[in-house]
Amino acid sequence: MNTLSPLALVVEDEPQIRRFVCSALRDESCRASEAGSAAQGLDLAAREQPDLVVLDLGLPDRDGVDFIRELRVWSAVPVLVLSARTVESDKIAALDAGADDYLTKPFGIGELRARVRAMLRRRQMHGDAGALHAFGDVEADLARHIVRRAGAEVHLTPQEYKLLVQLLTNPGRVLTQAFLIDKVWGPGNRENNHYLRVYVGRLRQKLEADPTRPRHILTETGIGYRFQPQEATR
Amino acid sequence: MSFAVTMQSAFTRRVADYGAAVVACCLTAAVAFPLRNHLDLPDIVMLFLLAVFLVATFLGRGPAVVASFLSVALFDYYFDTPHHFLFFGDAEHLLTFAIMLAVGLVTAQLVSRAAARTDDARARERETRQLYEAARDIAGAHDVTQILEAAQHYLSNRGLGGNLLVAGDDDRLVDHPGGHHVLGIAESGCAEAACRGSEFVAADPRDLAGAAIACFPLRAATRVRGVLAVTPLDDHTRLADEQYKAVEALASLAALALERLHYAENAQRAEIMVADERLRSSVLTSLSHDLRTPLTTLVGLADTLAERRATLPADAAETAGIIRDQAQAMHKLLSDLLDMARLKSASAPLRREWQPFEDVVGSSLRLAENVAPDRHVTIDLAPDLPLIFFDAVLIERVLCNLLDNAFKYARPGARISLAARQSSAHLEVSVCNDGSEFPAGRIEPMFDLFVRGANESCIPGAGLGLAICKAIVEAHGGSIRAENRAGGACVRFTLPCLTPPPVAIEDEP
Repeated sequence: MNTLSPLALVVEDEPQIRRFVCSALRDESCRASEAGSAAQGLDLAAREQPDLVVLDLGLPDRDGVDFIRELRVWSAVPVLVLSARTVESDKIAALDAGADDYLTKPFGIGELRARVRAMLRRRQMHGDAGALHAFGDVEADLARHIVRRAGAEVHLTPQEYKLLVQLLTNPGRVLTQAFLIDKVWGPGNRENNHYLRVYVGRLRQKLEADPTRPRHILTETGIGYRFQPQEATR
Repeated sequence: MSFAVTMQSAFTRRVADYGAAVVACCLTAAVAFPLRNHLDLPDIVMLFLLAVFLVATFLGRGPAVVASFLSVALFDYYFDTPHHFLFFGDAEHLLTFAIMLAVGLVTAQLVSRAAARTDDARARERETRQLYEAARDIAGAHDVTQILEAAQHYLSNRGLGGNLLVAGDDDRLVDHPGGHHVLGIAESGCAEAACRGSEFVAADPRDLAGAAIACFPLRAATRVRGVLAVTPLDDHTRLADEQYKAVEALASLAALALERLHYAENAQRAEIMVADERLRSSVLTSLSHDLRTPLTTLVGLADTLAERRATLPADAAETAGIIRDQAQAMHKLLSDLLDMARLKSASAPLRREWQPFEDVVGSSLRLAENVAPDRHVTIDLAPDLPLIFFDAVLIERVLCNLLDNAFKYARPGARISLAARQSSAHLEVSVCNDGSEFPAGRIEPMFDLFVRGANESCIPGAGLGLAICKAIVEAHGGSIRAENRAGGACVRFTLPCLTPPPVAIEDEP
C-alpha cells in the first residue's frame, strides 16, 4: 500500500513529549508528522493518511475519546493512546471507541518502540493472516476448527473456541472485557463478566505452558485481555 | 404586703359602689318628688326601676339588691299615700319590690356573664396571639438557642420556665445551656422517660421546689427530637388543663423546628462533604496530571539519550540512565502518595468484581518480574480456589508492593514465594522471602505511613508500600500482618470468600 517508510502521526499538546516520541518513531524508521491539537490532528490524519496514530488522551481542545470516535468513522488506522490518567475507565473508553493499545505516562522509550513495532507489523500482515495461527507450542486452524498443542488435538468447548478466535484474530490488541463479552456471549451479558475470567482461566489451563505465568493470553488488569503471539522481547 | 393593699383597694371600691347605688336611688327620689302630682304612681315606679336597672348594669349584684330595697322604701315613704309612712306589709308593694329585685338580680347576672365572656374572649385572643408569636419566632429560629428563647418567652407569660433537651443521634439527651437551671437527677429521669416513651410525663409532686414539673416529648415526624422540661417560676404555679394544652402546642412547634434544623444541618453537612470531596478529587486529578506531564518528558528524554549509548561518551549515557531511573522513582513515589490520598478519601470506590485469584497473580508477576528480571518467584496456589470478589487493580497493587519489598530486602538468589489457599471463610495469601527478616519489635508500625525498618536508608522507598497494602486490604474487609518465620520474612493478608455467583460451564465435548 505504501512503498515509502511508514508514516506516524503524533497528536500531543506537550512539545517536549512530542519531541522524544517522534525521535523514537524515527528510530523505528518511521516518518513522523506532528499535531498539537485534536483539530489539527484530524486534519492531518485526513490529508496524510498515516499508518499509525499516537494520541494523547488529554488534549486541550477536545476529549481524546471523541477524537478516536471521529477518526474511526472513516479510518481503520491503528491508534496508540498515551494517557496520564491512572483511572482505568479512561483507557477503557478509549479502547472501546476504537483505540488499539495504550501506554500510561510516564513510559520508557523501549516500551514505546516495542508497541509501535508490533502495531506496524500487524498492519502489514493485516488481511492475509489466514486461518492458520500459531503461538508457543499451539497451532490453530480456524478453517477446520482444530486446535493442537504439541501436535495433540486440544478439545475446546464452543464458548472457549469462540473466545480463542477473538483473541487469535486480534493479536497484540488490548481487548476490553465488554468487547469480548459482546463477541462471545452477546451484548446484554456484561454483568456476568466473571464468565469471561473463568473461561480465560480455562483457556490458559489448556493452552499455556504455565497457566499462573501466562505468556500469550495476558491480563490487562482492570481493562481486559491481550493476546500476544510472540513473547515480548524487551 | 401588696396583697393587703390590693384587698384594701378592692374593699374601698365596693363601699364606693354601694354608696353610688344609694346616691342613685336618692337622686331618682329627688327628681321624681317635685313631679309627684303630675305623674302616675306606675310612672314613678318605672323611674325607680330604671335606677335599679342602671345600678345593676354598672355596679353589680350587691348594689342592685341595696338599690331595690332602697327604691321600694323611698317610693313607699315619699310617693305612696299616706306620705311619710313606711309600710311594707302591702301586697302591692311587695310585688313592686319583688319585680325590682328580680330586675336588679337578672340584669346584674346578665352583665356579669357578658363581662366574663368578654374576659374569656380577650384571654383567648391573647393566648392565640402569644402562641402565634411563639410559632413565628420558632419557625424563624436558626438554632436551638433561638427556639429555646421563643419557648421561654411564651412560657414566662404563664408563670413557667423551660429547659430544652435535644436528643442526639445516639438518643442521648443533651441539656441546652440556655435552660432555666441544670436539671437534677429526678428531673433528668423524667425527661429520659418522656423521650423514651414519647409521652407526657409529670414529675413527682414531692420534688416540686423550683424543679421541673412536667416533661413534654418533642415528637416530630420521624422520631422524638428532644424534651421540653417545664419549670414553675414561683411556688404557686400548677399545670392546669389549659396550660397543659398550651404547652403541648408549644412542644409540637418546637419539635417541628428541631426536625427542620436537623435536616437543614444534615443537608448543609452533606453539601460541604460533597464539595470537599469534589475539591479533593479535582486537586488530586490535576496534581496527578500536572506532575506526570513533566515526569513523562524527563523519563522520555533521558531514556532517548540513554538508548543512544553507542553514539554518546560512556559517562553521559550512564548519567542519562541515572536521570531516567530517578525520574521513574519519583513517579513511583508520586503515584503512591496520590493513591494513598485517594484511598484515604471517604468516596474512593472499590471496583470489586468476581474473578479467579490466579488471574491477578499472573499479571502481578509479569509486572514485578519486569522490574527485576533476575528474581524468580515460586508460586504455590491451592487448586480449586473459589472466585473472589475484589478490585483487581488494587489487589495487583498489593501483590506488586509485597513482591517489590521482597526483591528489595532479600539477598540476591534468596527464595521468594507467593502462596494462596482457602482457610474457612477467607482466602489467605502470603508473600515470603528467605534470608532477611523484619527488624524485631518494629513489625506493627511498618504498616503506618512513612515508617520503614531501621537502618535501611541505602534501600530506596518512602515507607508507603505497606501502608497502601493495609489500606487496600482493609477496604476489602480483610486483614494484613507481617511476621518472621524461620530465617525469613513473611507478609500475609486475607480476603473474604463470599458466595460466588454460579458459573454454568458447558460440558466437555
